[in-house]
Amino acid sequence: MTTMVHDGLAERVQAAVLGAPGVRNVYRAGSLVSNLVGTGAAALGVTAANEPLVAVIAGEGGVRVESSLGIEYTANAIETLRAVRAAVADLLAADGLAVTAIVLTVAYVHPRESSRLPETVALV
Amino acid sequence: MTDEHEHEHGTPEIHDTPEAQGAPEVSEVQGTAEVEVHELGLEPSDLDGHTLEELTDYLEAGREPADPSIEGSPGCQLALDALEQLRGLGGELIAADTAAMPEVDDSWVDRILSGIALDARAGRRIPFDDPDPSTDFGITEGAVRGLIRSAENTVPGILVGHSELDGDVTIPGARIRISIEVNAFYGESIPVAVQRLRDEVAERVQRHTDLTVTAIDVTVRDVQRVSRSTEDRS
Repeated sequence: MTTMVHDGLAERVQAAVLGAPGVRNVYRAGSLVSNLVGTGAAALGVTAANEPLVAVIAGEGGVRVESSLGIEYTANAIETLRAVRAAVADLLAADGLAVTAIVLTVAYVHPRESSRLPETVALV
Repeated sequence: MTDEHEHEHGTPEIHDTPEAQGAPEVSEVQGTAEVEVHELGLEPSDLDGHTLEELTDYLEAGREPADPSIEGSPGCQLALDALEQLRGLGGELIAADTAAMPEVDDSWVDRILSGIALDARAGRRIPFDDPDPSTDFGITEGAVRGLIRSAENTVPGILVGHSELDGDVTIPGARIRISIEVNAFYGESIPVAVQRLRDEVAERVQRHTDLTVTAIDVTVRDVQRVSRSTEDRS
């Protein structure tokens, strides 16, 4: 079965990732995750001119999302990742898409001294 | 456990023996006339195609105009954080060295710069344990080394050179040792500074990983003589 996806989905997923509390930026999903992409999968919404940094990949049974993140120090990493997962899952569910995998990697934690979130922010 | 001798003139002889470390490290005062970037034999791929020289120039230009390839690279961000901290100390180190140390020895600067580049590599992927089978959460080793290095921001008298995570970090909740090489500033109590660094590193790593830290070994490689204003930085 091939999953049908909507135009601009990768951009919207990226916006959802960036909107999760504790996430400051996303980085290109590079070598850490590129090897995980199956040969039969198709990257969606990827263009040379305006390439989303979040990879959204259609495959058997649903969609796989991969992202590399820069997070705030004051936001506990695992709570931040769970908040991202929830945001992405909600978005995909609204589009009627099943999630086969969400692969999130924290690539950079902004120093506490420059964090944009107060220490007491509760996530999720 | 700690033995510190200070000589009024000449080289202070300082032995710091952290409790988790077997043998004391003998540190020595070294000087430098300027903080500059040297050829380190590092591959550009360590910093996503950029070099420490380029990042230093970028910092000196106030990170303007913004370079997307630098700002979009976590490795470059880690290196920029460290270079910024080092650059902030440069003036004080120059002044102190000019006054007290006629001979130039920049090996310690090289070591720090080399450590910055090494630490900036993404390294291994450290997984989080999560019950959802469709979820694969992780954090790069480089990000964790960045956390360790950033602890120096809150520890006056310490500049982190390089750190290593000893253990199989690819297993969720793995037991690891953290080894950190640091430079200390003369005049600060090394045992106190080292303990503060340990506490800070433990807190930062615990907050952002599932790793079980069994020990934090701190090796003081050099002692630098700098002014009080530098030592009191925060």
